[in-house]
Amino acid sequence: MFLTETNVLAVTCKQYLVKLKAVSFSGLVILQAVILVFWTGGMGMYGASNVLISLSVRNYSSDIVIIATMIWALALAIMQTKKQAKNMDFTLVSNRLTSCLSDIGILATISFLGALTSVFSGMLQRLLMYFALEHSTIINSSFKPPLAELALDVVAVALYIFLIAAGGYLFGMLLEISRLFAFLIPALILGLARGQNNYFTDFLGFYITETSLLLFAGKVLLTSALCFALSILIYNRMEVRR
Amino acid sequence: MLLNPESAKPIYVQIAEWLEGEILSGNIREDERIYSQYQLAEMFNVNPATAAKGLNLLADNNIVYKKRGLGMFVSPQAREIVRKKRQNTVLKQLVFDLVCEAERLGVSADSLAEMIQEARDQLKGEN
Amino acid sequence: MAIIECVNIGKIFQRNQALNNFSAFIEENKITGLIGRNGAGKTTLLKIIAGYLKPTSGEVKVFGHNPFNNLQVSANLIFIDEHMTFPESWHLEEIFDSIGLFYPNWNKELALRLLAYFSISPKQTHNSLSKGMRSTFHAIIGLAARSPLTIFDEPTTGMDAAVRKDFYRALLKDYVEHPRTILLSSHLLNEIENILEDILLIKNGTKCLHLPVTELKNYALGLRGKADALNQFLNGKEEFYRENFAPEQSFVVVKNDFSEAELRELKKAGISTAAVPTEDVCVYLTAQSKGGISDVFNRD
Repeated sequence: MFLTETNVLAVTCKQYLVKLKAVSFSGLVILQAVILVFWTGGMGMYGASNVLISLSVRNYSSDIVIIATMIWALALAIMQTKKQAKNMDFTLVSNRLTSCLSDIGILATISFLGALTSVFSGMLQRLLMYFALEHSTIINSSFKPPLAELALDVVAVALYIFLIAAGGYLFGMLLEISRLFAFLIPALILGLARGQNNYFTDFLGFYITETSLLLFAGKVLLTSALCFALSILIYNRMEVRR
Repeated sequence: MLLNPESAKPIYVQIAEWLEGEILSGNIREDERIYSQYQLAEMFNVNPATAAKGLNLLADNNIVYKKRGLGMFVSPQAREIVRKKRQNTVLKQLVFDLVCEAERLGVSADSLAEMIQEARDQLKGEN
Repeated sequence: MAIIECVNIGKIFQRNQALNNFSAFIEENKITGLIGRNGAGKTTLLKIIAGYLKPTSGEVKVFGHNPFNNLQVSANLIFIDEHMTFPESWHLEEIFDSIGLFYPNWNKELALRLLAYFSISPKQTHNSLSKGMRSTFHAIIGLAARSPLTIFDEPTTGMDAAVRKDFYRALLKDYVEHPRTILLSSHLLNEIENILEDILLIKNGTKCLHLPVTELKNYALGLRGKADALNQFLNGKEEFYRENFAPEQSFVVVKNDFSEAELRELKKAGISTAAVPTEDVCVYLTAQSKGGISDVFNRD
């Protein structure tokens, strides 16, 4: 009885393309650039001096860029679940499943791009230091890391960002059910972290202490899949464009 | 093409009457194809179903006939039918209204006839 | 063939009953006007048909399927209202292109021509449009998408009279060339009356009337005359509206099932009859009280 036939994959891909065009990556680039400039001063510093010699040691790290990228991804994931973003899907052809699947595609894409740019910004930072700190000694075992290691960095960072985005997406979905979750979830995390045995640290450790990339990827993807599946289940029952 | 939306007559009746007028005046000749419901819909800016209802009104009165797959055509005796129909319905109604008003004003049948005669003379004088 | 089937649907928002036991069947390739007062449940009904909202009770079928969360139903319909959302930074032509991805019948050329006719630049962004222009832009999307089921929910909000007229004219023209099922909601009947085939009147969340618009013109009859003379004729007639506009003088709107003979009797009794404009019929049928606003001022 339908005049136009379509399928989930086709619609998901089209929605993904539309969303990809709408996501602003310039925001991320600016964010990373700003952080790079402000933190190039060094993270931690200690020094000692006497009349003849002055010694100062600075630690440089691009961790802060990665953390900022994670926060950006978290915010973006939550935004994807908001009414404004969802209305955009349902203005044209969509159902709950394709809307979520295309969101997942976008989050995977931004995780990868976010990881790429933050690792790249780390390299940029080294380059800046190399030219800026002529009279200093740079102590780093991997100042010029091999390409394989860089690639590994990108994958690992991307997986972390994706995990956080998945969590953010589920959190955003829960918020759509009730605003109460905005207090409940942070309270739950705090509660778990403060108890006698710190469950939250155990939970983080489950991922952080994993030494095999393959196993780590497995853990992350499984958890993310769980978060997204739960989100889709929640969303499937929800009304849109109210 | 403008219809009168304020009129008591439904749009499709107005369309039918317009077509009758075209037939009476000879703008559409006998055995010629009449406008389709879609042409009428565009001309009068009305729903094609409404236009079709107007055409059906003509078909019911044998003013037009259907040729399968070709559309509707004006019947050979269309002008005569329209003329008779107008005489029987429109004119009769007008006369009834006239008599009603005369009754209300207490005008007798004779003076009414006189008034009609006067109006006829006036018309002739103008021509 | 019925494209949309609603059987006894009800919808409750918190404590507000938006739809109550609503049943209607809407046929394929017809333009149906959904008419009702503000808050009668028009938008709720349309959003249930579009599969956005889930009815609290009853059953809806669109193209033979439950529309809620149904991708096939969604692919076959487009829902036009003032709340359509597009990426803020996109200009209108980009939006057109994205619509083309989803709607195979999309005619971009027509959309651009209409845009030019209404003097809207395709290089403008969506959120820079004024309210009336935004409505026009959305209406153009609804026209050019040529979706098998096209739903317009109050499409002319904010448009000026000239644009409204042009839009309805364009809609009819495109419909004649590409027949499809069109649902059009409005609280103003007179400007859409001519292009409609059917009219669906909704009152307090239930169906009030569903009939071809050509029959609505003869649905009611207005009678004006002396109150006691009038009352003799009103036995067993369905009365929609009554106003006592002068002492002993009444204007009554009743269902038009008078025979030729009865009409003659009315004339003899000095009661004038008048066709009731369809717009007014709708107002009387959907009114909460029979006396209209005058009742509020009649304290005795």
